[in-house]
Amino acid sequence: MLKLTPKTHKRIRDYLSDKSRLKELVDGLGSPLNLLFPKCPAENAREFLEVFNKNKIKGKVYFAHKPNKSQAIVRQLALENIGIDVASHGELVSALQAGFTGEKIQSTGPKNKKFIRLALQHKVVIAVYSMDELLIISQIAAELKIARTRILLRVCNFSSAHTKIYSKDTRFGIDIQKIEGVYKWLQKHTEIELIGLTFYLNTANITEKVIAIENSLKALIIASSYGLSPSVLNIGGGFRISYLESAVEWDRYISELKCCSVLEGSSSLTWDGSGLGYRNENGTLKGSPQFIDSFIDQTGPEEFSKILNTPLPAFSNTTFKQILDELLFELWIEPGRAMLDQAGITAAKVLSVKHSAKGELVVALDINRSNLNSQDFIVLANPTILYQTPKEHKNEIGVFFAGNTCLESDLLTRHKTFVDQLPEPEDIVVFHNTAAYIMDFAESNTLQQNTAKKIAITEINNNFSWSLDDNYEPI
Amino acid sequence: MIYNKITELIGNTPLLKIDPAVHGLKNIDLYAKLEYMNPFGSVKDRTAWGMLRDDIDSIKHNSQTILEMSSGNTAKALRVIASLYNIPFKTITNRIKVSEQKDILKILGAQIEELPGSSDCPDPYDPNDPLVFIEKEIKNNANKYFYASQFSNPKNLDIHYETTGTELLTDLPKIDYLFGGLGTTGSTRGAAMRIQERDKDMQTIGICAKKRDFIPGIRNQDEVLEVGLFDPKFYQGIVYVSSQEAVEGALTLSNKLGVLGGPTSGACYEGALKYLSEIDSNLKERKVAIFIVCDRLEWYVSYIKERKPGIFTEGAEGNPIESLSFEEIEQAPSISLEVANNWIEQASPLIIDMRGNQAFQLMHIAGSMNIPEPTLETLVKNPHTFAKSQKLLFVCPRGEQSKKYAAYLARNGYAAFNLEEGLIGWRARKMPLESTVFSEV
Repeated sequence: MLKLTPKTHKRIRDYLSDKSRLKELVDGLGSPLNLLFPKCPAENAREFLEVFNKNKIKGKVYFAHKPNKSQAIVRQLALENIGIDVASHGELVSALQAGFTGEKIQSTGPKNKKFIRLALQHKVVIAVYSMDELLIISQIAAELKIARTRILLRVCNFSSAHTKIYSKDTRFGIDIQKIEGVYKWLQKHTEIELIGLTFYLNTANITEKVIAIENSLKALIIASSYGLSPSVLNIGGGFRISYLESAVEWDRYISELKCCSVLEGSSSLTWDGSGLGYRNENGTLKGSPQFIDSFIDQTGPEEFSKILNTPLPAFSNTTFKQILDELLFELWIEPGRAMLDQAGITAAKVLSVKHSAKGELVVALDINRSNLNSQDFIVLANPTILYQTPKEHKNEIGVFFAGNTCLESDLLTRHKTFVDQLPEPEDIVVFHNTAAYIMDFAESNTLQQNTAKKIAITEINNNFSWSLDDNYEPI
Repeated sequence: MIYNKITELIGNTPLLKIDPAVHGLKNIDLYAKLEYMNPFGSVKDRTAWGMLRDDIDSIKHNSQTILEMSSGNTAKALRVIASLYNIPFKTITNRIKVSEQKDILKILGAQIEELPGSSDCPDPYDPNDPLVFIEKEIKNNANKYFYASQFSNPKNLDIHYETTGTELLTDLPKIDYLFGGLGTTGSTRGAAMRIQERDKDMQTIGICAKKRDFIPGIRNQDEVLEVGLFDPKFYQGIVYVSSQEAVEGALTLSNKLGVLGGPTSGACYEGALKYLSEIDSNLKERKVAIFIVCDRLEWYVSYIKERKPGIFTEGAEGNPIESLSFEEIEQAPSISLEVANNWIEQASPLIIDMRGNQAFQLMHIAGSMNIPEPTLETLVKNPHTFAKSQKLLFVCPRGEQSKKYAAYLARNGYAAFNLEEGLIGWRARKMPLESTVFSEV
């Protein structure tokens, strides 16, 4: 038994309990099909806000738009007490269209003039990534005769007296060691108002977060000696989510992968013995996983709460939340993935079931890896299979799922999935928790195959209804 | 006994017979190999010396730095030996999880560099593999480092074969079981290989941490697969121990047997008993088992505190303000923001800002003084800190914590007051604040 039971919200389980409902939609709208449940992100947003309340912290939650293009989700979230973080002109338009007003929007990422102009016109807070960008923003603001522009400075290159860490290079942000040069410039340009600092770390590692937080707080304090009074610290997102139900299943699968599959070679759990990043070097396991940790034992809000309660060595081990409170600062966060936990699933139809040249069972689906972004972001979790003719006797069998393009690399899963019964053509396979970064992040109509249609599912008193994503009415 | 060099004290550790009344085994004599009595406090003293002794002169001659990936005992021992020869030592670590270990390494003068956490946005060009950083560091600084590499260096095995194993062999006529924690796997396997030359049927049992758990110095079920020296076929059994059991074991060792071993030693003791208790009941003849007490208790205070906080809180004197009832707190004499400015002018109170010092520097009410809460807590325990005639105004961010101090002191007869709504309210009303921040440049 090497199942990897996906974590599934009750709402989605209920929805899938009637299998003809989904089959009909896939038949009618085509495979693949993305289903969004806009109530889920709204509930997740409230959980994050609750952490602010419980810890008595002043601050704001910004939904990071980038993991999904759905309009239904943004429209639903515009009714919540949160803001939105946009990273392109298109995302800004989407946010405005969904009902977010300018003062609830924050813009980040590399920006072209079109994006900057629209952001300025709507009085959007701009996270500035470099001195060069600041000059461009200031110039466009002057052209547009905008009297006051609120900005955050994105900072990077943190260091600490208590911990020395090998840091990876980054392209984003202003070197915090040189921040006073920017403060001097801002002193002379009062039409640009520095409201705070922002950073993002590409890791959930708490030691690194602590150092970035300490550096940023100190830089915020120093700003007051330049006559500036920034009071916002934006620590970004990066809160992880769990894709699986059970730690036991996950641990068992990974041990089997490392031990039996890679080291002993007694079973093959990966396509063509790739090892998913691991290899056997003279009997020792080497390498690192190409997949993400699919089971996490805390939710995004729990992880956030833990960060708030972490002591900061550079501030006499006062907890982060207490020092924020004492400094009268405001904390912003930008969860993206964690806000979209359980917000979407992706359904595809089985095309054929066959053996590979080396005898592996391959289930080909009418979807390709661009629709599941399975190249950069590998999650190990079983899909749910809606069998048209379910069999009485379960007979566990390991399969690989492949895509609908004629490329050898178009595998949807490179790890073996153990299913109760072999699927047949026309069965529907449902991949779970695909809303964040998976369903449409890298989607293309490669080989002129379908891109997936998006529909939004509404549940009222256990009755489900659907609409095209763009026609969704928030409730 | 006179020695000329501290390294001569490495090894030849005692073997202690464990009191059967404590371990409870009927047919097995259990012995503890007291490796914590090595001069730098652990079994790793042997490993460190074993990896360095042949090369130490050339390392010195070539002005190299000793490099290792260790977050504990090996780093400690390497550092001490390196410093005897005036050689720099640097450890690259994947997180030191026990704070005392890091402190001791700092005291001893080790350079510590930590590896970045794994990335959550997987990037095919950035393989998240900690070894890559070490390889890069060595490659970018040709000939600068002597990389000891305890996880794959065969000298780590050899030294235990040569010394630990031989000592055990000499001490006991027959050995049936050997238990050791699996870290680099060098000590247990090295010693076992030597013993098996005489006692062919001796069983070697490795102790591992449970998955998702952490015991210092030993690996969990999956991590051990990544150790170059690890050979799964060598062991007759592997016992998985939780960190809770490790702590309980360490407490039994120290409090019932006088053996001040750390949690890893506790894990070995508990693991040995787990494995042996069933065998013991079916035995017809006496058997002999040994477990390794690998290091000392003292540097695991925070580890034990985290897992058994009850030991530390019992009988401790709490903060007196916590004894206040809800009603008492509510009755704290208070000054509202409407009247605060006038009141301060007329009453000339001592304004006590209880926030941390950096926050105080950034902004505070004119004329206030900074007594951060931990200091204030100590001060109020002493009844003679403040004059009873002096009015006191306590200030905190929200007027909540300050209310408790005002209530407590007022109950004890002081003229103590709370600033309602605190500094957040004060600032929201745009009342004046001062700052003492100056640029550090």
